[in-house]
Amino acid sequence: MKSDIELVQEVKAGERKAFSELVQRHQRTLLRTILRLTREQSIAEDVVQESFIKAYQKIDLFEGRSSFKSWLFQIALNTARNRFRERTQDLINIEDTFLGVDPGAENGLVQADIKHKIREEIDKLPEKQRIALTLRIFEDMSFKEIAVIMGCPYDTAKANYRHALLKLRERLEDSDSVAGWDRFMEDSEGAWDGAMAQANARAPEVEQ
Amino acid sequence: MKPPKHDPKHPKVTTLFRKEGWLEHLELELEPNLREDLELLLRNSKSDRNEFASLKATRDLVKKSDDVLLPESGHYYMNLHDRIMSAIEDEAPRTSTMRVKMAHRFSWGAFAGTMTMTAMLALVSWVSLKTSTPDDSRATAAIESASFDRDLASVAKAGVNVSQELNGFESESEIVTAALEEKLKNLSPDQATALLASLQ
Repeated sequence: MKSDIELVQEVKAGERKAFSELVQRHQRTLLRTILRLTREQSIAEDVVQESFIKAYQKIDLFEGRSSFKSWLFQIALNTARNRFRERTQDLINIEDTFLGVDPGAENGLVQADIKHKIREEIDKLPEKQRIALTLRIFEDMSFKEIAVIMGCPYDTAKANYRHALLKLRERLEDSDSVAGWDRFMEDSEGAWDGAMAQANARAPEVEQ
Repeated sequence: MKPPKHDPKHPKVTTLFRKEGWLEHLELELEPNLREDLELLLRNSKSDRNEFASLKATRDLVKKSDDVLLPESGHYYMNLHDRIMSAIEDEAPRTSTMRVKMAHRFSWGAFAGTMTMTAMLALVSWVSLKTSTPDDSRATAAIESASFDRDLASVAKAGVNVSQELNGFESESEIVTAALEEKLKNLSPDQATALLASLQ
């Protein structure tokens, strides 16, 4: 199988078919990432299509200093930025938020509410932090890749991610939905109680 | 991540380092020698364990909150691919390297150059128009003098030359004044007498 760079060289030489292969290779991941940021499939599809067209038009400017995927995602992110800037207000103003959990509610419903709450808190994060968090946690990208995509230094990408995670922790700890939290955590690997118990079990108590 | 300086509680790990270090540890981005220090700390400090556990729990919960549902059908992606390729064929001629690079590098220069040239041409035209159609009656009399026609023509010409060095002038009146000054310096005694007579 040819590498992305080899395909790019073929596209530069006039082989349009090679670009078709690049589209097949990256469209799904790109759609998933953009969908996470725009939250609307039709918009995400438009962004993906526009991004591939831009990538094709500008492919002669791609010098291979980063991976093709990072370069493509950078284009897509810039394209999506305009879209979700227009929509940020709508996302922030969602009023039907999770404000308390009926102790008798079904676990599935509670978890769905908590997930909704988390998604809502992620949407409230500043744009750069939200992007860094999305690319790191959901797309498992390295900070180096994130830095290329966001067009910022490595340390900045990392700092954006760190601020996002710390902010989320603070907001979730302060959340009104504690009862729901506990239930969800009991059912979730690595969630509060489980994680605490696991950590505490690792060593005898030596408080500092 | 820079190595820690000192910590009274732990010889190698500072408070700030611990705060950032847990996150690096969580992301598996910590250098191996520092990892050993943090793991030692993790074994011996409940507060650090809680700190690390809460970060890990937050990360896990965020990961689990993923609610994006992608279409599973291969047909969907075939369609998306075809749509993209069709749009590329219909609408997107690939920009040649040179054209893109030239456009990228020189677009502002070309714009600035065009604007400068346009402004200069407009000023030159304006100066020429002004000097060739004065509305002052005294100046009109002077223009009617045969010897002065040549002088004014040369003043206008000097104005053109001066206007090519517009950077030093703030207004068109400055340009005309400078051109006239330059011309008066080279006026012969006879020309000066004729000029004074016409002005009286």
